[in-house]
Amino acid sequence: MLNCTDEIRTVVAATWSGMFGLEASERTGTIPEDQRQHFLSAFVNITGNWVGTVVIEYSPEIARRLSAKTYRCDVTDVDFSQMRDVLGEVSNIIAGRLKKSLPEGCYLSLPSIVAGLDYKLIVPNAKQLDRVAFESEGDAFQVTLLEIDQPQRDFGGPGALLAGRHGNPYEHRA
Amino acid sequence: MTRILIADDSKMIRMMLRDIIEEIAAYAEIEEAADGAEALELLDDDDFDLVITDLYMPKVTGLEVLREVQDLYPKTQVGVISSETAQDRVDELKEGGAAFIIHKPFQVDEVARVLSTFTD
Repeated sequence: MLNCTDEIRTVVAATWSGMFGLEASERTGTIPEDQRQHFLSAFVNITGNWVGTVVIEYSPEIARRLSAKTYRCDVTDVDFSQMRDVLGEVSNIIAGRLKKSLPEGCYLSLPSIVAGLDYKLIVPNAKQLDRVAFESEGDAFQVTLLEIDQPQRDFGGPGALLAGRHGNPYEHRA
Repeated sequence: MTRILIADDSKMIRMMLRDIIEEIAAYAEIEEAADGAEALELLDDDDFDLVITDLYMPKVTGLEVLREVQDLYPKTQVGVISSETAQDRVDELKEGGAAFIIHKPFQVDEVARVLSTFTD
């Protein structure tokens, strides 16, 4: 079975240190769902000879910290468009690196960012291959690699997961 | 004075590259394009010594930018910064005449070292 745990550790460490000058250390265990309620989720779909999704969940604090570093402003001055840009690019970099571990002939979608409360990400027919949680200056984030076993017949690449079976893959908790 | 065009659909990457260039070459003139089509428009209007381009961008890809520059502006060098690591893509870029290929995530020091060889 495919295992990308080491690749996830490597790309996260290289991205945080090389591009942001921050350390990211691995946490013991994963981040419980009740602590992720305010997190921003980024996902990049992978299609081609292997089908799956890379999901990266960022605490609002780490999202603001990375954005503030990039835009050279205070964390309180960061707006959502800045976070969307930074998280999208970071997620793209992580997914791009993980693609190295996948069969040749795989393609990445553009990253999508989801923010808000009371949503649940549902990827149909997916099984979790890897999940690694990290901490940077006390702020948490988590990288998950999902493999989709039986792609839906109309799975057409970027955006297809957003359409979902019922028009929206986010099942509201409330 | 070195004239540099940064083409990347991520503002984050454009800002990071601008910061690096300003650090190593205070007098460099820097222009930014948010996609490949905008990069080609800017190339049409101005002369650049170096184009730093992402590979995958809306409208026109970095590979297309590279080929266009090789055809129309042979004195302009093109370097690629991308998270793409597939060997066939890298080979395509090398054969297309890319002056350098840097993979994301990059180390700021590494980018500075490479870019310093293109600046006055």
